[in-house]
Amino acid sequence: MEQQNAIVVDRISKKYGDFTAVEDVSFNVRKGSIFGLLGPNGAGKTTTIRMIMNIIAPDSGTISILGASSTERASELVGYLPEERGLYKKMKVLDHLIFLGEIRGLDRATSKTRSQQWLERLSLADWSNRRVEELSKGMQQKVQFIGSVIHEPPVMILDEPFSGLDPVNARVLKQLFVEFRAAGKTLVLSTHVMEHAEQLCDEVALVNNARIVLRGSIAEVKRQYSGNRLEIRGNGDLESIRQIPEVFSVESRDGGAAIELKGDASLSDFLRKLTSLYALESVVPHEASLDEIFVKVVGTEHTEGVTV
Amino acid sequence: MKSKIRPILKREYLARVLTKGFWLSTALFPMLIGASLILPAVMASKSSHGKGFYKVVDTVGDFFPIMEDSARATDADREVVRPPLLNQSMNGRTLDVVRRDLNDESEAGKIRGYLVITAAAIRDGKMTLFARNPSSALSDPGIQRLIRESTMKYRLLHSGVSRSQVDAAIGRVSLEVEKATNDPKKKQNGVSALLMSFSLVFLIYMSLIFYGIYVLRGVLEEKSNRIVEIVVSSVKPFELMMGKILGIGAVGLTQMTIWLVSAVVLTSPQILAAMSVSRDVIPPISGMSLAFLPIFFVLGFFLFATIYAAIGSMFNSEEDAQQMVQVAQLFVAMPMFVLIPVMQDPSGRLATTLSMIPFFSPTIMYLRIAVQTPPAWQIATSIAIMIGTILLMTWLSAKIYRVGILMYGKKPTIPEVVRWLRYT
Repeated sequence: MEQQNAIVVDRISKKYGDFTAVEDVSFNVRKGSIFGLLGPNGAGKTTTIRMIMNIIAPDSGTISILGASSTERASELVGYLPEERGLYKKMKVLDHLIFLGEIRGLDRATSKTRSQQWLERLSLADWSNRRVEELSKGMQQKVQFIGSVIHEPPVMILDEPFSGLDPVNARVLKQLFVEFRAAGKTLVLSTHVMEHAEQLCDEVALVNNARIVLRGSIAEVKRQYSGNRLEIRGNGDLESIRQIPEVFSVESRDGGAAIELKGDASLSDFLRKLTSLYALESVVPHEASLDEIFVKVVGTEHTEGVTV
Repeated sequence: MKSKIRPILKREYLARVLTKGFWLSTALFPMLIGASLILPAVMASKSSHGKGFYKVVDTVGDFFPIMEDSARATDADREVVRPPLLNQSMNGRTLDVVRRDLNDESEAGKIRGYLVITAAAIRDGKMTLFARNPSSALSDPGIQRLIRESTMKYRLLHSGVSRSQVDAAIGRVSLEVEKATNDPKKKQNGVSALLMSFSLVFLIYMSLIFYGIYVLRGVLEEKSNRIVEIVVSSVKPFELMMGKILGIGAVGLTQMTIWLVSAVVLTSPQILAAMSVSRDVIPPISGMSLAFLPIFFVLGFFLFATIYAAIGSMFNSEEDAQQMVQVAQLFVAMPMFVLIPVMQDPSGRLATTLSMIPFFSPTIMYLRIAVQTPPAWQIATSIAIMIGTILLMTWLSAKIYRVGILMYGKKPTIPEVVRWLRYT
């Protein structure tokens, strides 16, 4: 049982001069799971990932990948799709993939076979001998993806893997991720599109202002933030509901309202008072979406930042 | 872990050699150098061959025949071209009238100019050549020598020296410049050897400028393409930098090899033929200067390439990098300002000192080797100093490069770059 975790990040920090990019970040990624590293731009996701990839060194803290210190073997063990990514525009697609395979440690022949298989699989085979610059943005994204997994690494870290993809290709990629997980591989997805995280991730960590502010399985996180929210349907005056002492906030919805209760409010007290004011048709507990949680935790202070 | 430099190097090399641009520049570059050396000479001789005559207004009557005689007698002298002359008779007009007409003819481009010969001018030795284009007349040794020679002959003949004595005294003196050496192999044909040495130095200089810029562009391209991070997740930044520099350096060496081989193939039949006729003929380029060409190119290239790579990594576009590039290019260009003094005294103190200063060595030491072989210990010392500097620059540049390639956004300031050096 010693190696349940594919990645162990233990209290890493990184400063650039006076700017703190990452502070005291810790998390574990279970083997064979999909882990979501979420957060707004500039929160410290990319810096965290770069430290895992041994592209930059943390000021303090340790990282290990499949039991090995990342400084030694990150490039072999991890397939990395960076957020800032591109290709040599003048190279032919197949040659480019063979090159990427070679720098990832494959010999030329293996690299060529795998490149061809992948191009076939992602319906790019007809483009093998075209120059990269002739490809559409979405096609280039697929080529970049192939380039980052061509050495069949047991762990993959993909930074914003869906950006620039149309819904059809995004679905193809999601399908692949699920297959990877089924094959026992570990994936870390960094994204600020919560919908993707909700669909794919087993566990998430939310990074804001250089720190982890929320961590756990999707179900845990949701439970934690959905506790006292209800959705009601029926007829009545919403203003009078707002006057009920247990109520924290009321939002009008089509044919009803979304209500958040105060932290210590009693549900049965509230319902008794509600039925006397309101012709209630149905009431269901409201499950917060990851998106709502994200906005709530990150708050309005979140502004577009620069990736460091 | 095995080094990833090889696939990077291979990619960089092929990406450049397999382009039309490479072959085009390989073909055009020697032509450009040739043209820049030959054209001025052609232009100069063109202008002295240029259309039109010099007219001579001979008021003493027997000067023109002497002048014409000198011009004809020395036609065989190929060093200077003597312009054709025409005798302008006065036809009873006054000198002023004749001159006015001649000025008109000159301005209309019918003649190149004219000379007025008077007894006083011959006696005082004060001649005036009226020329359509005074600067070309000034730089034309043919007409100047002709006037001097004819004047001397005229004076001698008129002071009673016999014709044959005059001819014997004024007869042509040729001067050749040869290397002072006891080793016949080192004997070189002065002018053409100097020209060849100069074009070899120029070749190194231009190659350093061009290939340095290739490195800069390559690094900037990787940054703006956003491929850097995809590569450095598998390859150490140092390996990426070295792979790139080695790859581009190999392209430069390939180009140089093509030039040298074709130069040898194209010229050796003539040289061999000339050598079989006369034992004194020596090839214009010594084997030594050919052998050192790739060595000094490679050393110079590494010296500057690491600097260009560091500059490229700091910026996001060529415009942003412009200022720093100009500073770097100044370092490459500086030696060109001292070429002439070094050439005049290749073993003097200035030349010896400069050839030991790292950024001057590639061109200055090479120039010294090409024009006059310096002592072996000096060559060895300058190479050792260059290698030491290359190692130091590589170490510094790698530190800047490592941080710089992942930096996007605003231009870094110098203090920021200095701070990068301390990052772990």
